Amino acid sequence: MLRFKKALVTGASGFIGGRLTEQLILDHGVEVRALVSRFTHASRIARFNLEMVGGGIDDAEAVDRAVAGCEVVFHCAHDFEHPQRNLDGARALAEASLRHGVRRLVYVSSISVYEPLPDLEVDESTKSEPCGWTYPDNKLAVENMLLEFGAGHGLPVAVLQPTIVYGPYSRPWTLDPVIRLRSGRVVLPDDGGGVCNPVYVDDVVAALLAAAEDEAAVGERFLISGPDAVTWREFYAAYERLLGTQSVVLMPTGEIQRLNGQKGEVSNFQLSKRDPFKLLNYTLVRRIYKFVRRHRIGEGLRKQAKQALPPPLYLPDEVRLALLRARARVKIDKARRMLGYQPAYDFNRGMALTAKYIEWAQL
Amino acid sequence: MKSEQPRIAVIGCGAVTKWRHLPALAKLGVTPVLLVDPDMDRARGLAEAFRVPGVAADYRPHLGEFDAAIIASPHHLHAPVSIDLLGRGVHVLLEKPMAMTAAECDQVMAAAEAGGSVLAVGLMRRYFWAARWLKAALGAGALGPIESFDVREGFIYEWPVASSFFFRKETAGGGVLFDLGAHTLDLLLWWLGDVAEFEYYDDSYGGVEADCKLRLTMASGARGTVELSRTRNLRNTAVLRGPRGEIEIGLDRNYLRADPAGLLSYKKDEVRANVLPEDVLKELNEMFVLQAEDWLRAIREGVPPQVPGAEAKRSIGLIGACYANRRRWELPWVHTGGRGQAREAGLRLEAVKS
Repeated sequence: MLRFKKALVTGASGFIGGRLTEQLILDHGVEVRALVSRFTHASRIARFNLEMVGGGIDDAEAVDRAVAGCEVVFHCAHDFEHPQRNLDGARALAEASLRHGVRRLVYVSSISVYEPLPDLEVDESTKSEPCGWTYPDNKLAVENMLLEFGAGHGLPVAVLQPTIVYGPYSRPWTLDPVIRLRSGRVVLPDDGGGVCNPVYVDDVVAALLAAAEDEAAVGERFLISGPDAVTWREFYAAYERLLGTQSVVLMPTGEIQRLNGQKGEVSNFQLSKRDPFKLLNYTLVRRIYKFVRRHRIGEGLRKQAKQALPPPLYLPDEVRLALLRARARVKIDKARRMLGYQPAYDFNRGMALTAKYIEWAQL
Repeated sequence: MKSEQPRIAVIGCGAVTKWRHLPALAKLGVTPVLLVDPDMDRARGLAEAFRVPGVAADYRPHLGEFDAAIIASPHHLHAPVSIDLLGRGVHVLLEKPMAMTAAECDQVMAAAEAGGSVLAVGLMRRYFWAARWLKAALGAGALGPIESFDVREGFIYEWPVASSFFFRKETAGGGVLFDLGAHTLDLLLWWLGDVAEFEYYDDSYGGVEADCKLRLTMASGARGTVELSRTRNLRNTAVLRGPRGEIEIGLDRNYLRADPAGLLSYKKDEVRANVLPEDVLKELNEMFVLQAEDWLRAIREGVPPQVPGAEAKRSIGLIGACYANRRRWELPWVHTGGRGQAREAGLRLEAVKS
């Protein structure tokens, strides 16, 4: 039984925030308010009778309204396009939380703050400093700002750093791998033996709830991972088995870097594969296309053309390549010790539930 | 009331008005006289873009200034606004869903009758050439009596809704069944006739459902399923099977596939589906043009529109019955019962490590 009754979730229409919202309502009877920047993406949380406050994270007035009356704030939102917006928004959220006497502000950060990951065990004492990559630097800046604000103003802040979060609706680690393995070839560096530290989304939610409840969490950062690590080859192999495909290509790092050096060529090819209809902007092509469609000779031709074209090659970019090569094993001892965090889903169990989702989603 | 060039008001300036109705009217060379929305900034913005002379927060002070209205307000206002206008003799093109309940549909139709006004409902998919070809082909027995069907329609929801009305039960009336299902079920009922028995499942927990499925037995004896989704990209087709083979038809586009392919040689209006007329190349947005054209023709010539209220009411009646008999769609990754209590019944715990 949780001690709080009302919570604000930012990013509730996203992957982790969405699952957190589901569990807060279904399993814990918590009244949830969601700060929603774009209603378009609210389908999943609209299944519940919850309050949605319209507004972006940097809309101080909307944030203030959203925070008022909530005991706990879970900050899951992240804008990948506008780093400064994340910083300004987190500050607005912290200020509103202070004004309204929020008991706990829990921020969902990322393991990426330790990037580039070292080839050894990683825990919260591992050096984290700006590395020049936008996402990790932005997450780190928000973490630092929130913890400093909390310490300076007496606002109880806790920070979680989840690893590779997979499960139903995960864009980067479930949907994208499945779509790519189905539609093309996924390149892994060298022998695919880099270490992936997967965590099923429900374990992250369990950690979020513990961080919201436990006094020991205040002012702390916690790495959150699953109970077991696998290699990246094993991670993708699990999806390959579900799909009945063999689409992973192992490639020497140097070759990947060489191909990435020809970025224009590769990405143009991928772009045209992804959106061949862009070609239809050209009048002549459009006319031919209409003729072919009309006379139904197109279907066979299109199928043949599709089969004749090589499948797209999904190359990791510089940041992803570093992640896929790293041999870092994440230690979760601090979360276990201070939060009583016990990941319940080993990789087999998490993937078994994910498999059900993939089948249902008809991916 | 017949009019050569009705003065048109558009009530509700959300996404469907901006992206569909106003471009469709513009393509027909018709400029509305008035745009109505409580959000005046939104109304003014569209008025500027489409050169509409008048804007208002409420249509009522402007009664008498327009002869016809496209109603694209939040769902819960469809019936009250259309009843008011139709009863005053204003012709209405009413966005789907026609009303919140079948009883409201009856009131809307009664108002049209009383006011002598034209009521057309915005089920524009009926204007797809392929949908019409299938209706005719089934009527002619091209496939034999339909034995089974499998309908799947879903998009990861990206429609640029302008407000939260769409996701609140009291204003939207429901979720994917009410919104998307108004189209899908309308086509199914149009093609296959009435439903005799059904089971309905959805994933709502007090809000509006994002995913639902129906198991249907039609009065004709055909049995099948319908799956609708706002969270999944599904194949967006209906597959109908009969003793002579199967036909797959696009639900939101002009697409037909048949096995055997010879089934497509059925002629509608002297045209076979295996050599397609130019109409087939028309996309979804062009259906709004055909729909507006049909409505304006009905007003001008005093003929019934192609989708009158009585037709639109059929799917609303089925949707209402579904909601009244809903069962929860239990998804195994949702109901884990809290930390560490995942239900593993039915799960294949395969070794996934190599």
